[in-house]
Amino acid sequence: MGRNRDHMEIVAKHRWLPPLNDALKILATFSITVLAWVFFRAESLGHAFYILGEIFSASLFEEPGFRFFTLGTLITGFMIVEWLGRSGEYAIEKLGLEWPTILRWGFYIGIVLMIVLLGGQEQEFIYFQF
Amino acid sequence: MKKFITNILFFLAVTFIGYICSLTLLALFLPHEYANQFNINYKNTVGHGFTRFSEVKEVENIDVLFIGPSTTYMGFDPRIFEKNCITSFNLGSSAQTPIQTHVLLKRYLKQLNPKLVVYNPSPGFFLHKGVESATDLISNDIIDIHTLSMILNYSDPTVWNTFFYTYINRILNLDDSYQQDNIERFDTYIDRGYVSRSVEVNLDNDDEDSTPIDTHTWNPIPLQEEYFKKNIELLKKYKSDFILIETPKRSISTLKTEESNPKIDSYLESFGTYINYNSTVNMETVHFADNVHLNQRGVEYFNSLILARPEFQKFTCR
Repeated sequence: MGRNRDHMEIVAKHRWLPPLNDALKILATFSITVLAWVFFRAESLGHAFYILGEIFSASLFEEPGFRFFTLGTLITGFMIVEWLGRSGEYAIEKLGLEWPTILRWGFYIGIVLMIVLLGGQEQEFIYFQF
Repeated sequence: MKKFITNILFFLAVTFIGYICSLTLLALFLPHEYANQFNINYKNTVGHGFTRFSEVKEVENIDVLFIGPSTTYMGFDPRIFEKNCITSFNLGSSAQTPIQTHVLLKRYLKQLNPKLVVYNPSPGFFLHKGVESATDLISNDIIDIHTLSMILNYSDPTVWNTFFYTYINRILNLDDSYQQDNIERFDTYIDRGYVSRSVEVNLDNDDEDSTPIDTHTWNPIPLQEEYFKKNIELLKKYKSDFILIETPKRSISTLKTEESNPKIDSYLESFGTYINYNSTVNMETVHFADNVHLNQRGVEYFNSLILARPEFQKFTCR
């Protein structure tokens, strides 16, 4: 009773990295959420279970395909930004506010270049069917 | 406000410089296969475009020009026509749409000076923007005013990235030593633009592409229609006789179904002589390398039908 307001503090406050226990909890929460989204996006329960079956098949141990290195680098970068900005209202709330202009512009130009050189095809917004 | 606009313009200029520098670094330090991971499609298409576009520059004054997508460069064998004393060149290219046909006609029609043009418009490609074909032309052929005119039709980053990346490679002479193998998997570049595929269709894939489609919903992209009309006008302007031909497809191919649409037939017939070999001949499975491309056996049979046409009777061995 009354435990729903537990664990509201910033995880690993004043630390660069979380303790192992917290890291595992983060990983578990992330994994459960991602797997739950399969049901969110699937056309039917059968479709959802089919997707889960494909995820947890031998392909899990195969070399990922197209753009693995690029995607891995980008995802790592996003996670670092999210982690560093975890105390804000949103991850990039304070990002770059105190940077010198040249660094900020370099960052903006980097984002533009990533969109142009690494951007994919148009995707349907995940909440579209709602 | 003035400062804001100035800042925006300055930012855009700096971003463009950064963009060119990034592409230059990719060109200098990464093999093309890895650079192609960055929304660049440099010499990464099938169809032996580099070899074909290199060879065509040495050719002049031919009897017949073949032009269209892959069904063209795998559908018309100049050697067969040469046996009948007809000089020809096959200027087909991978996934060629009317936009790319226009570039090739503008670039080579005067030099090739054909007495007859066999144009395989392949209506299925009127539904595509032609990004793959555009990058094929950009990276494998020269860059000129026609290239610039073509890319202005595209907002796709891949086209623009490929254009600037190719241009940087050319300026820095980084692709001077590039050679294309004549054999790529099952495809062999023979001569004068023709590519032969010697396999037969894999009968285990009989169900491939067999999903029926609605044959009444051919809605071409307006830009492709516009360029198709420009191509016809260009041929008339150069006073080249031309015929429009649809190459035969395997009977279960959805492309065969799509290109047997009466709406498409009447549309193409309005531009001139049009023969749809999907409707007029049923070729056997052994004639096909896959559902839409002929193998060598199929090409020999199909080309014998073409040679029997009245348009080819004016070419006689002396």
